[in-house]
Amino acid sequence: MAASKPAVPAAFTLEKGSSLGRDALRRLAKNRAAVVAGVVLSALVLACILVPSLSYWRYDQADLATGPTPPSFQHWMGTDYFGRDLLARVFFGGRISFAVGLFATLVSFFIGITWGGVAGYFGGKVDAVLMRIVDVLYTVPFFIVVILLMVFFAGQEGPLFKGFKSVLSVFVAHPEDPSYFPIFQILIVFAALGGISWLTMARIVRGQVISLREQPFVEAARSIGAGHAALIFRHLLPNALGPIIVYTTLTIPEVMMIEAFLSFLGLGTQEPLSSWGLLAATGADSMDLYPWTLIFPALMLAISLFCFNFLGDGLRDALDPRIRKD
Amino acid sequence: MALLEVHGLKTHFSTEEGNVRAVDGVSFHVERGEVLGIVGESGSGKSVTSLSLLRLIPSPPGRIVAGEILFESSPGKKEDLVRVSEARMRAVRGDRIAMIFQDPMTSLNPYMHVGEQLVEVLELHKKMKRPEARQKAIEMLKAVGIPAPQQRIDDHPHQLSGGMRQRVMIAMALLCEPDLLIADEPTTALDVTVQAQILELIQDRQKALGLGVILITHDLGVIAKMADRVAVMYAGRIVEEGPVDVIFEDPRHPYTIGLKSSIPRLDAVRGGTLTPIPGMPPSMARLPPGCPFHPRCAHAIARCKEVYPDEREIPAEDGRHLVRCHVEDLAAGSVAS
Repeated sequence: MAASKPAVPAAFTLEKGSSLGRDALRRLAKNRAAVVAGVVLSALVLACILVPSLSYWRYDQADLATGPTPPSFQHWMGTDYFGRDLLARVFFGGRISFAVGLFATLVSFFIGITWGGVAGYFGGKVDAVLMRIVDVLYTVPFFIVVILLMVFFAGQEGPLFKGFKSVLSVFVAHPEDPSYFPIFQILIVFAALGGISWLTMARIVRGQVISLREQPFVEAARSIGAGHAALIFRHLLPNALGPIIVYTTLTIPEVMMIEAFLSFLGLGTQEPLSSWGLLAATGADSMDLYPWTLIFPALMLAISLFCFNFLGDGLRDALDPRIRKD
Repeated sequence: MALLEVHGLKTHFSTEEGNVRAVDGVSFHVERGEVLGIVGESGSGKSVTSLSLLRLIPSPPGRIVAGEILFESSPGKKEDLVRVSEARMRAVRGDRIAMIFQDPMTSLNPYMHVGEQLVEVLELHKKMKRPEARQKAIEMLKAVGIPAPQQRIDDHPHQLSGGMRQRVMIAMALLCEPDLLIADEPTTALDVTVQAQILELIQDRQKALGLGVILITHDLGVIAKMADRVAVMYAGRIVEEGPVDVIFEDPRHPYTIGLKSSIPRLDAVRGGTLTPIPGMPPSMARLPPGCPFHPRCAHAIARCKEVYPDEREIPAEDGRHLVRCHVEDLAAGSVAS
């Protein structure tokens, strides 16, 4: 620390103030684990975007004559039971896994934070009603709901799919094309995951806001005439940012795990689409014979979960301006 | 016409111990350009009074149950702040009536730059655009004696010292040129040397802007330096009120007399002892009947235990001197100590 001090004594240089964002980035850059995690995650996301489009092999191009082969020059991650290139399938699956994580997290971020913030800030009856709704939703057995949703409402003949097709007809020429059905099923999974992902966030934010609400700076903000919205969104929620960020970065991998589990059970992503969970599930069935079909998707899942956790930790530290600069 | 007139203000809290009458029938007034000091022990209702003026009492459990707060928001126009809408109240807060809090360490939002917090006030009340508001904020930081305000405005509160933060709080309070400033123990959390600077700053701004100031403190030294008039609070009521010289030289309420004789003095005899007021302030949930001070009062008579004393005016040369005590022939000299 002493070595990094400028030659000019501090008294002669006026310290330039800096913004929260810039400060945070600088502090984040000092956290090696977070930087590595960020770089690896970005590389993974980029690969998921690019690889399926650039790869010579298509993710759904079966070659029964080849069958399952271990990693080779032609197929870097080998091929699966149907001779499909695993590399293309893994990175295509990454798209869906990341998308599910991102969507559910956005829902949790916007609905959960607002819900919890409002409940915590107003307290009393508002709090009671809002949090009882959360409690009720918590008690709903999630997997049963998803199963029921998939079995009874999300079938090919179900009303939901008909609705989906009529929406789809606005955008595409042939909505009756059966290849749209898996996409529709993924949307159902998205909705279900989004529906539960914000509950814990709402509880966390509510708890934070309740403890912050009594802080003098909130009273001071009220004394300058700030309204409810300004108090919640400008004064209270930014102060709860630490736990929010950490929980958000934990939500992404958690949701990816749930998606993987649903796919594992055959309720989430459906063939010929792929996701890391689905790939791991099919890989696990044949791990004695073709271990690479399990190892690669599982590795991807594990790496991204690790990275999200490290990044979340780093972001929490970096976003707190009270932590000293050096 | 007075800037602020408070009549019979009662703020009660419902708690598990019962109905706490934190402020129980307080009346006072503040003129433009005048400093009213409110003194009292912890729990005497000083802060609740000041928060009631801005309707910042957390509700529930608190509630203003009676009284009126007449505020002259524009010349000749009186508003009863107890009855105006919440939206109107928000427009008054920070604009016409501003407040400085006790602890500058925790009264600024740690996540916002000092500048953003200042700009927020101007955006709320003056509908100023950002660059203009920022310019005004820099000027105001300069006016409250913050060096290099262009740089400091982008600092986070934790980068400033306690005194600087209190200066920022004062700058924030004065940005909209309010008519009334409520300072709730503005120097309690500061070092003694910084205290003097902050008090001088408040006094300087008060004179320059012709502010009405309500200064709440338990420090009689601060009152002597700053106030024009003093109100002494005990157990949720004002027990004595008058011009500062009169209160210090000719206090008539045994509580005020006790407060005065418990101040350490530089010119006192070495080795002499201070005379504290015996006992503790009563629990606000279980006030003694009659005059709540009677269990601690050396002059209490039978009537003190039964009847709360009415306001009595004592002839004084400049201004009204009011006291609530049954014992009429009490004067500073008559208290043997």
